[in-house]
Amino acid sequence: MRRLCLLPLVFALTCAESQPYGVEIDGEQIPVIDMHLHPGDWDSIPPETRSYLTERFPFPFKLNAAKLAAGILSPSGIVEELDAAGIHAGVLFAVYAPRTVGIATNELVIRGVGQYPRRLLGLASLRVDRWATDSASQLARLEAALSKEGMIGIKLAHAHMHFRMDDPAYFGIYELAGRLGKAVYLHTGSSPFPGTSREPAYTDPTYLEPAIAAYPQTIFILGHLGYDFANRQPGALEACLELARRYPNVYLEPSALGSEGSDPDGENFKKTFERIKESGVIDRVIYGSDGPQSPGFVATYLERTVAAMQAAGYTADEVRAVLSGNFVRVFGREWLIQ
Amino acid sequence: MTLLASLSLALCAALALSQETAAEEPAAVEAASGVSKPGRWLTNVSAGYPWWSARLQLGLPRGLSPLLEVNTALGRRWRPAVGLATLWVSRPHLRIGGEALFGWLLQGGDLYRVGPNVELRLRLAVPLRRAVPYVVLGSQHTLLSERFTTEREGGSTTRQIRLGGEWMGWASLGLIVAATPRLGIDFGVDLTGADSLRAPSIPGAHFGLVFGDYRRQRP
Repeated sequence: MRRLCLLPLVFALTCAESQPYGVEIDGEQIPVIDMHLHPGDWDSIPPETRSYLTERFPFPFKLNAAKLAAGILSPSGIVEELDAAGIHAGVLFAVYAPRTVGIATNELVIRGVGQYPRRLLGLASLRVDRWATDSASQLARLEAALSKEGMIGIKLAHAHMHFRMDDPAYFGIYELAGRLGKAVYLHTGSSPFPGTSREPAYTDPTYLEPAIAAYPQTIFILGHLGYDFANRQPGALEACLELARRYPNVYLEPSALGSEGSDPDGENFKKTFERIKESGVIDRVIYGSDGPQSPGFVATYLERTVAAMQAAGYTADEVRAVLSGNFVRVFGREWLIQ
Repeated sequence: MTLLASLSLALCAALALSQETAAEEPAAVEAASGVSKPGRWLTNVSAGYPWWSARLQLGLPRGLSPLLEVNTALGRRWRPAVGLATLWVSRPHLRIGGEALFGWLLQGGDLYRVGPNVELRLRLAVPLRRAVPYVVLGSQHTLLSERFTTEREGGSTTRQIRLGGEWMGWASLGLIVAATPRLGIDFGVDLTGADSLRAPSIPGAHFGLVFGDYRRQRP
């Protein structure tokens, strides 16, 4: 009898182990790397933003958001989300935006990457809210973080961190990235979070052009494709495409804008991928989700992205380029998807 | 689809248990219809995920029942309330009634909410011999206030109160089986639409006991 009871469990475990990673397109298994994941400490997020995030959790989970977040925001929770989505590897972001989305330290990211060296990589960040007095020490700390194994770039979000995209006082960050051979990921477009800057100088990637032109050795990844999250509109998409066309060091990342909340019917997301294809910059798109957000989001976002690409007429090779090929070309580490 | 399947299941179970209408009404019928006969009382205590609740109702003339109720979701959202229930349709195999409750919402955590709460309910019960399938639809409204204090560099301070509201819709679909005339066993599924119907919710379920002061009716 006991043996009979164990059968379903054994069957479930066998099925779970044999589930292939990647997404199947035209009978071909395509590997996936998610370059935009947020680990975190719930208590380091400002109360207004915690409320904003909590509202998105399903009832009754929202009644105990801290407990749910503690599980899902940990490196192990994120790896579980990657597993559930069939994603090979992910990139954790450090964040220093104490007045808006909170803090996820470089140390937290480095620990997570160390815990899962074959599944996770990391982007470091730095504080800029006391830049006039401590820029040198912040840059030194950033450089130290970037020297750690698996740390492949820098995360910046001008709208969350309240500094202009065209302010030369901060160009030292791009110089450092270029010197170390690291990429810079930048949030572009408006942000839905409370307390963020919504003026064009903080959201429109056109304002990044002086930095992009001044540091050709630095790779700039324009996150969210300039999406206007406040109004659920493509926002600065055309500016992103134009920069990618004109500068070989510009890449694009389509995270969050295609989510259920940001684009309920998926129409904007589909048009975005159509415009990417028409602009001839598919080889510049690196996939990211902006997860984990809530349980299952990482998997759902991948499904929505693949659906949008298929609706936009992408071939299997083009889907492969977006989901992992371009990432491997920029960052190497082909072993992540083997 | 889940609702329809659950409703069908509940009705089938009820029909299987029923044979003919009893001359006396067990406490289970009064619990499902929300109204007690004059002079009678009952308690209904249920536990489940995410809702737990306790209710005491009394029977008054004219088909009215005052009630006291406390419910909680995961021990994090509490709503004690008083209310009044009435029956609009009272037939042997059909009860339709309504309830109005006035309470106070107390919710902690990141979605801190405290404020006066009003709820309107619609109840439909189908009394069969020993089983009573029921559906309850509720619409809960809470008045919320937020206090803001703005301190300016010049030293002036402004205080503001901003009023807002929260709506919660819910539905419960269940079956109360009369184990004895005084004792009923309640089980059902609960669906909650918190804040708005657009917000996703996880369906829940509850199991409860009904205990009433059953008295045999005079012929």
